[in-house]
Amino acid sequence: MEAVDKISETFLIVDRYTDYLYRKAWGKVLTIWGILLPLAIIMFTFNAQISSTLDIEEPFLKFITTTLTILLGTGFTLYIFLSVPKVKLGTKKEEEETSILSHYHGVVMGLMWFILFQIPNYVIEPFNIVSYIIVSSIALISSYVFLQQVHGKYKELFISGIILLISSGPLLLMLFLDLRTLANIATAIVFAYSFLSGGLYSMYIAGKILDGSV
Amino acid sequence: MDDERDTNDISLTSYHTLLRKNDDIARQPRFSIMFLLYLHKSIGFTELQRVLELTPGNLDHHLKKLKKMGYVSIRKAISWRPLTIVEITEEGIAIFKKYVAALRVILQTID
Repeated sequence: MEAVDKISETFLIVDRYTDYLYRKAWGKVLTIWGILLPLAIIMFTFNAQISSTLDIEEPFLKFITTTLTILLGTGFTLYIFLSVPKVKLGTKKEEEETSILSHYHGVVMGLMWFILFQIPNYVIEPFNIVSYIIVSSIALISSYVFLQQVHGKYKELFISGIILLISSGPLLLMLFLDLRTLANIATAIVFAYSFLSGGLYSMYIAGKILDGSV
Repeated sequence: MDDERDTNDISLTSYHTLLRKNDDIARQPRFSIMFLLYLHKSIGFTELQRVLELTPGNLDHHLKKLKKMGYVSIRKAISWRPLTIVEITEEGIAIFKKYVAALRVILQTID
């Protein structure tokens, strides 16, 4: 029986370590997007000035900015999540283990984010940049609801999503008042604040999980 | 029938011997250290210490034992802060696999 106790104790430790790695991965992903998205928005806002300084055409700079943001963001996200080994031992409820959603939740969420981020491409200027705030908030809140079903509560996703959703109102108002540059800069700040605070909170919780205090 | 029981007894005895021989990895927290490293290949010293809820000195003592047996290796890495990385060796992987297989056989005998 000593062997059984030893194994079940080890299973709990292994599961806790896996939860820690997964939570830390979310923290890193939110932080990366919290840096990349505001940078891209700043580049878009000052596209004319930057392209004339660098002596390149405006559409080309827009293309480079979009491509680099998507490639770097998606690349880092995939690399970070795929580096977390899918080790889950016998300490979860049976239905959680056998659910198809729990096995493919990464793919489903990736697709959801990809589809949602196509929407701003069809939104007319100057509302397209603020529309990223709205789709991000929908993606974050949906991820929170989805993860709650398969993995546990990720409060930081909900908080970040709500911050973005609430901020979208005043930002849209700025655009209606024709304060375009100010609205874009505010959008970048809101993105950075929301994603970075979510990322930091996620890493803080990851540390708590590792110490066994959550 | 008797022959079959004899064969089973012989294999069970050999599994028991294997478990006894590897008593060093059987004890906690060494079993947990080996299991974590078997699954994740390498883990930082601080992470290992926190997840196992051990003091640095205590973990160091267990790691030295495992290192002496050739099951783990420890290396320093330079990141944004100095890191000590604990890795499982090929020998460690092989012995842990054997140990778990033996443990599984022994546990299966419990009805």
